[in-house]
Amino acid sequence: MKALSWGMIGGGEGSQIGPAHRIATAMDGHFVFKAGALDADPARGRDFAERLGIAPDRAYGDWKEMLTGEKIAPIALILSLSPRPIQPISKSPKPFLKRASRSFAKNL
Amino acid sequence: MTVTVEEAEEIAATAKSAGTICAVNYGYSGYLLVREMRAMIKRGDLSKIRLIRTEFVHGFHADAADADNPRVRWRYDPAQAGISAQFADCGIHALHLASFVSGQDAKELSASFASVLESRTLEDDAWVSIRMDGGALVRLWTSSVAVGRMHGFNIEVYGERGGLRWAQEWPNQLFYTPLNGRTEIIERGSNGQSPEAARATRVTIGHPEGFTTAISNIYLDLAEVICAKKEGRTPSAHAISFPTAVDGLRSIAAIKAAVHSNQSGGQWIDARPPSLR
Repeated sequence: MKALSWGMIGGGEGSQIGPAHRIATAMDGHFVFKAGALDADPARGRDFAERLGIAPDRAYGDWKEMLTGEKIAPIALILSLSPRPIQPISKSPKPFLKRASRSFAKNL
Repeated sequence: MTVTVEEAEEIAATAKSAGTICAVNYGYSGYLLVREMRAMIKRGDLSKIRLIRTEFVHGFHADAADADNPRVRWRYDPAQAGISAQFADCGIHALHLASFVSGQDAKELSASFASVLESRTLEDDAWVSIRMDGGALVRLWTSSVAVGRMHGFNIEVYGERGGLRWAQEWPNQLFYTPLNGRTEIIERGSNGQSPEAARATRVTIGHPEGFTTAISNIYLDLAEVICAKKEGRTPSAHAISFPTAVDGLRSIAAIKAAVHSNQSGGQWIDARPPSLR
């Protein structure tokens, strides 16, 4: 089984639960951490992502950027860690889900 | 998963119509011995489940000086956290685990919330009783002001033919007592464990496994299901116990019911989401 790429929304530096998920996904070699929109502050998020080994063109400023960008690169798992993953970015989870579904549909 | 039941209904419906896997990481359900509890209960070791007692308590929001601490304050602010704080943050993990091990879902509940620190609008302590659809009664306590408690997430299941006890801080032992029998300590990784539990371990017996390993079991199952889909095959039957958007939806509905119950003096309220009544 080829390792699957995964990306994370949230889980920035100092996050309570982000490290646990990064350790857990890496444990069996099934997932490789390839993309992230890690922080509400885009610059901090990109910086932390790069320090975790994410390529600069897959270290995103926000979730919209990530789901748009990831259409061109296969990703199998998106993990959203923010306690409020959608708001206040958007009023409804629909835009996130639609983009996520499209991204998955294309890559699965 | 979301703040409102409507959003949760939307996520569950969108995931279903898109045919996408939408898992929700109730990571505690990945502990091997929690899966063993579920398997034992499913095969009838305890017979009918009468009572489940569960608690998820810590003491890290007990300092009144934290009223201005932005890392704590937002959790108790309805503008940022929604309608519930401690029950939504921790209590819901306990309810999910009660549901996961018993195979029963919340039907109705009665709640009593308290804001022990007066500066808080939302609750920092809650007692909730839940009647499950399979007849079990759940007694749940959750608190963030229990000074000295660390990550006190425990579950006890009592059935007609026996009882089971497990604690998150000592996750490598499960205590099983058959009715009128002696108490047995089931060590993680010991012989005779169910296949869905046996696959969820990586190091030999006696070497502790913990929280990150439990979460990794959710990802292990997800990897199997994602790869099976890619390869056009049926996933292993033992890899499909991870929680999904439907579990998240049930949780959000239970949070709303608990808030309403508390507001109405502990009245029993339907805990199910509208689409699953």
